[in-house]
Amino acid sequence: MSDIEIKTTPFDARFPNTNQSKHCWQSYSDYFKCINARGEDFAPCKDFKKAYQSLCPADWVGKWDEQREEGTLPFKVTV
Amino acid sequence: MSGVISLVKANPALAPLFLFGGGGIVGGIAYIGHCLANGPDVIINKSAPQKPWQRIQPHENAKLWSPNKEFWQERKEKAEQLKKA
Repeated sequence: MSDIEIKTTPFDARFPNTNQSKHCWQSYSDYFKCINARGEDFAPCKDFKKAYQSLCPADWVGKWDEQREEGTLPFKVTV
Repeated sequence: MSGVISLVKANPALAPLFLFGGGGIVGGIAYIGHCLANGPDVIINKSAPQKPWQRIQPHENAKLWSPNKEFWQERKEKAEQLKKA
């Protein structure tokens, strides 16, 4: 049992309070900006992915993924 | 204003009331203005390229007061070490 490593998103000074919704959105947005700029295999993008997978409610991720596929995402993930 | 001044001249004991009350109102409005201008939470200018919370550095504390001063002290020292190196 001692070899199971449990980790979560480290502390971010931009979002010091209990409400981490903006942190979730920022990580999701940064991950896809990172992917679009550097390609899917660029390793440092993984940190953003882990962050949004830990922080974001599954409903939000599902909704944004659907919107991305339709092209109706309300925020920019290009550039 | 002149009504207030004549009232205070007639009853000088009322002066602290107006001083503290007025100071409190001005202080409250000034605090709200400060938060709107400098707080990292609220997006005032939607067309700015960067969101307001992106300017917070990793060692910067956005809260007015935090009980855990050692945590922030360590982060500040790390940031200064990184700057020197």
